Amino acid sequence: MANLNIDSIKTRTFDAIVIGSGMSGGWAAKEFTDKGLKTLVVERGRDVKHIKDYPTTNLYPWEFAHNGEVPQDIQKANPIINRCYAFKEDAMHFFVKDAEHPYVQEKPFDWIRGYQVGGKSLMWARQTQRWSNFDFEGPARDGFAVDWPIRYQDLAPWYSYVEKFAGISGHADGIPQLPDGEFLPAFPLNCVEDYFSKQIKGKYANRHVISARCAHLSEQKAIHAQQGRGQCQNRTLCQRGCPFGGYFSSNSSTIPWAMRSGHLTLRSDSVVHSILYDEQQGRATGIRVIDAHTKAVTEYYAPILFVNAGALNTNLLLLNSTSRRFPQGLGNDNGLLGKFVAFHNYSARISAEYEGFQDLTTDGRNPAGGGYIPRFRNVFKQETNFLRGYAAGFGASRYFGSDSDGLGVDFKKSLENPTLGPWQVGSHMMGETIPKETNYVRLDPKHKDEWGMPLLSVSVDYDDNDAKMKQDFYEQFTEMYTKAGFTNIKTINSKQAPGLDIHEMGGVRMGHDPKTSLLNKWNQLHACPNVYVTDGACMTSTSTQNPSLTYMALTARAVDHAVQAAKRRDA
Amino acid sequence: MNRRTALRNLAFVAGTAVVLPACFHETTKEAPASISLRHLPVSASQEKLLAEVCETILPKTDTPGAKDLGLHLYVLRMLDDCGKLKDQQAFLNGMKQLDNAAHQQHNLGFAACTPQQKLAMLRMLDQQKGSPTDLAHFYRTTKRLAAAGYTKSKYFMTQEIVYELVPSRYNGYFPTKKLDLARKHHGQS
Ligand SMILES: Cc1cc2nc3c(=O)[nH]c(=O)nc-3n(C[C@H](O)[C@H](O)[C@H](O)COP(=O)(O)OP(=O)(O)OC[C@H]3O[C@@H](n4cnc5c(N)ncnc54)[C@H](O)[C@@H]3O)c2cc1C
Ligand code: SF4
Repeated sequence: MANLNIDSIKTRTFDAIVIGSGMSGGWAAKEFTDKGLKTLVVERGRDVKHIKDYPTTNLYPWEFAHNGEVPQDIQKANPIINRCYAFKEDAMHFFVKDAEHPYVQEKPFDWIRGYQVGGKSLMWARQTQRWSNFDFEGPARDGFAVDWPIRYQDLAPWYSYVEKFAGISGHADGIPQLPDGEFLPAFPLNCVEDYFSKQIKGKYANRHVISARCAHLSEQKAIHAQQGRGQCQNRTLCQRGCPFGGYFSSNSSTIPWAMRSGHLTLRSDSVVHSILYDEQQGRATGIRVIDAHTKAVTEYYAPILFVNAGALNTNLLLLNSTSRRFPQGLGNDNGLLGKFVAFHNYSARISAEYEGFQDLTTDGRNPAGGGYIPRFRNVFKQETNFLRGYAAGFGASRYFGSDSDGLGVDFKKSLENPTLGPWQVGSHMMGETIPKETNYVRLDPKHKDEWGMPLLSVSVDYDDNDAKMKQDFYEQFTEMYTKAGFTNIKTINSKQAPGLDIHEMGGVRMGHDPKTSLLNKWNQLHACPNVYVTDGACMTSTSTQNPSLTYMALTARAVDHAVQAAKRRDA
Repeated sequence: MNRRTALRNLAFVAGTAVVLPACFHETTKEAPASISLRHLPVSASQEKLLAEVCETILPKTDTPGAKDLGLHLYVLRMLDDCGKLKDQQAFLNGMKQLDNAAHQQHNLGFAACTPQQKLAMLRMLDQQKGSPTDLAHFYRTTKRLAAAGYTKSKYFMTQEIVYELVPSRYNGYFPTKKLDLARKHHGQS
């Protein structure tokens, strides 16, 4: 009996455990297995195998029962997730339904999640920009949050490292606030986007409209062929999962790569309930896992633990990992765990029309989505009445349309002979929000979910800085559009709640000082260094750039550190 | 009947239809529609009426018409699954009002009217501006969904235009004169 137990413990012991198989967890899995560590990845959702589990990927529009629309009963049952633009008939099976995984909104917060192998890396919009020192030095310069314990130079080689493997398309644009990377060829701007780019360059000193940088194989290099991924075919149906592996996802890239090493064990349908802490040893020893279906409890052990459950779930998991040593949650000696949550403000858009280029249109599809306008406010010095700034997307397109008047033969003819409409342009704001102690998540004291985890309670809101920044976006873009000769300019206030940006960050922030932060410069919990957090929870501030590329780089860097540290202990 | 009187008649019938007894064509036990619907209590004869409305909007020409493509079923399915309750109710009301109006004007249900009579009745609705009555709502919903069903049908997307699942290209400077409008590609972004 005793022997059996020991054997069983042995089979449940690994060199490293990774919690979550999404964007960041996939990278942890790849890095550990590349380095030969026997690795367990635990994922609460179901397995989604590349291609095989993309049920809609090759469907034609007419093969969908509802022309892409989400039926009313599903919309009504899912008021939160239904607000996400990608929650449509072709990809809704990859999103968490409201009733299945409730949470508490102390203030309105649209928590957009994908619980499955691959996490949200399956449905993301694949925009990838490096952060710059203007971002890492921001808190120290502007006096908010705490100083980042790292600078751009610490991350630059790791950006290069993950970019080469993931495949990022873009131009080297030489913009200080948007460092260049290891790029595959960029997807080109179209004529109106190009025109706007030239107008802006001519009229402003520090404003740029560049080709969006994105995680698509505009060209297949040897490293991508080795992953079994082919060149992007410009389908722009990526949210369904790409049969070519044209864009980066954990499912197409890191997870199968790790699997091929022979060192990976992947446990899907397994909810990590908490991290086990051993007082004698003074370290975390493993995890408690609830089988998603049978609810059976199993424990797994490893000397290194990576928490990659997605920013807010990582907070939840750490808060739920209590022990005598850590009654308020693992590593939470200073009581700051769950606080200083921030996000990106996506609530403003501006559209217009352009009368030029009537003789030109587009042919094919652009997976990058068009242009990107890096932050230009308060970059080199503080110049407005709000802190930080915003980046923006920019795109131009023409649609086919037909006269909707009449009926009978004429109406049918007009449907059969649509004409090209005018060029339409649009931009959306991506504003940096300031992490504040009053923006927090915590465990709901009363309610638990099906797996015995307390519900997460979220209290996150906009502030005055966000309002001023948004106003500035409207003003600056109205001016830029006007100067470019765009007409019919319309500002749109989506009034969306935080969360719908899907860039929630913080709660387990990095910093120099254990009194004011949870993680050190290697993403280790100050108070429990064999536990690493490398997803959005670790972010000290939010920048204006999309976050996921930075999660990938931080993860690869932290795994390297963890393995080196383990080797040093052995030696 | 000149257009004005007809319009007035139609408006009159539309306004009073709700209080009319379940008259003319409705028997107590009607055969249900040929597809199963969860929210819309539509009978086989109403389904037929809808098919006639769709065919009048998009008739068979040298290309398939609404009946050939089963567009009325598309309209019903989209409205049943994706329509809001309020719109579903207005639609059902409006559909009954159209049939009542046909009885008033022609002593026949809408489906039994001549193509010219059908066209004339719907044309009046097509030309009505302003906030829609239930009758106009029914017409506009049907027209919008039938048109979407038509342009999203397999027939349309393979024969009238060419929908490409995989374009493998992007040209942001494509001359419009190179667009083959006779056989349009649907790879445009
Ligand atoms: C529609 C959409 C568009 C987006 N566009 C962009 C973009 O253009 N650029 C960009 O940078 N980012 C974008 N994002 C955000 C991006 O997807 C996320 O930043 C990224 O996936 C986060 O990675 P992660 O590893 O932290 O979390 P995830 O990818 O969400 O993975 C977390 C995983 O952990 C699992 N998990 C959670 N709790 C537990 C538990 N207790 N036990 C076991 N497993 C658990 C989850 O099931 C999930 O699989 C977008 C997201 C969406 C949905
Ligand atoms: S655009 Fe590229 S990555 Fe997206 S589905 Fe198409 S081929 Fe795949």
